[in-house]
Amino acid sequence: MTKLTVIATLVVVYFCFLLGISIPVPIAEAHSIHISYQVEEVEVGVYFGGGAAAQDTDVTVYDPDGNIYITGKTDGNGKFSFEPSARAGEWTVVAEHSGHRAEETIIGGAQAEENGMPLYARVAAGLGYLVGIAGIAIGYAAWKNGRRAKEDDTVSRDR
Amino acid sequence: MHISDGVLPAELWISGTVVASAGVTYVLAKKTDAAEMPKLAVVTGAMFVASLIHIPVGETSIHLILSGLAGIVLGLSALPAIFVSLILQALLFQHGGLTTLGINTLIMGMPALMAYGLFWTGMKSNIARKHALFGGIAGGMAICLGVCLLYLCLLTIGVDPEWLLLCVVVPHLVIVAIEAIIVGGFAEFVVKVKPEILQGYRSVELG
Repeated sequence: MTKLTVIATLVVVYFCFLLGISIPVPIAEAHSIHISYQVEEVEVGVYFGGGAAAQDTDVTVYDPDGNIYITGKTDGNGKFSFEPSARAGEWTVVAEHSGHRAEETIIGGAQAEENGMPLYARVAAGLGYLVGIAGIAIGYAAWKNGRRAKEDDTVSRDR
Repeated sequence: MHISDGVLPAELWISGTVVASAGVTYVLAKKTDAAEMPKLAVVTGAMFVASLIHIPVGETSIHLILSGLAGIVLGLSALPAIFVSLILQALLFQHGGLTTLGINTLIMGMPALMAYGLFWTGMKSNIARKHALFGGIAGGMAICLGVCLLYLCLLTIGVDPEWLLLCVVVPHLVIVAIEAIIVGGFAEFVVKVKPEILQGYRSVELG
């Protein structure tokens, strides 16, 4: 028995070692690839309905929290440029010119495609699903067995 | 050993899905004992988590697969176990993809069944330390065959064979060695402690 305990301990230590050397490695997730991007500068153009550039238009940029980030006026070509911060989310640009108003949202800032759930939670979720699936299967088997036993019982009583 | 969505041509992943789901359905309906469910779930869980154990090799990183282990422990039921663990990996780790579930199940599942056959054949022999020996062979060969299947799959879509050889096949040789040791050691250990949980052992030695 002591020999077995030693082997079991070695196996556990070995797996811990593997986990230990693998998790902090930066290239550890070579099996799913993700894209991240950073919008450095946004240039908006403001036009009138016919296509003419709207000069001197008041432009207000709101960050994803809804706070005013920057205000300004479009140049001679109806353009206005700003540099969003790294704040990810929907930036809102509002242009106002002589009573006309246009609004546009821009996905800006640093975007990292990540579902936000930490790895250990995803592992736990997966194992949880498995326990659930197995539980349902076992429950179903038990129910079926019970029914069969009941049928056998009835058959034997009928005889 | 995961092929992602959108890599394979439709006829390949559709036929993979059809064949794999037929296999999984058949095994679940006809060849799986309900009493085996907890064991099936545990092995599925092990495979699901094993893919997180990464080993950096050169510029790429590879991970444990444990298809050979699933084969010797579960026998034919390795197929549904692999299928479920791939679903969970695709959904939770973004490994592989949902359209390629079928083809990935075959790439891992067929070697698992082969590992079962190998181990089962080995158990009939009278070689000393046959459990560790054939466990190791089964574990290693499962990865070898899996990589061969993956290689063929990726060749058909025109991936550069030389690149494949260097970046996919060669790094997996490390996994072949590691899994041979793991599965061999596992088989030796389990045969001593609780041999009846090995399907490959049970069908020979315990009738």
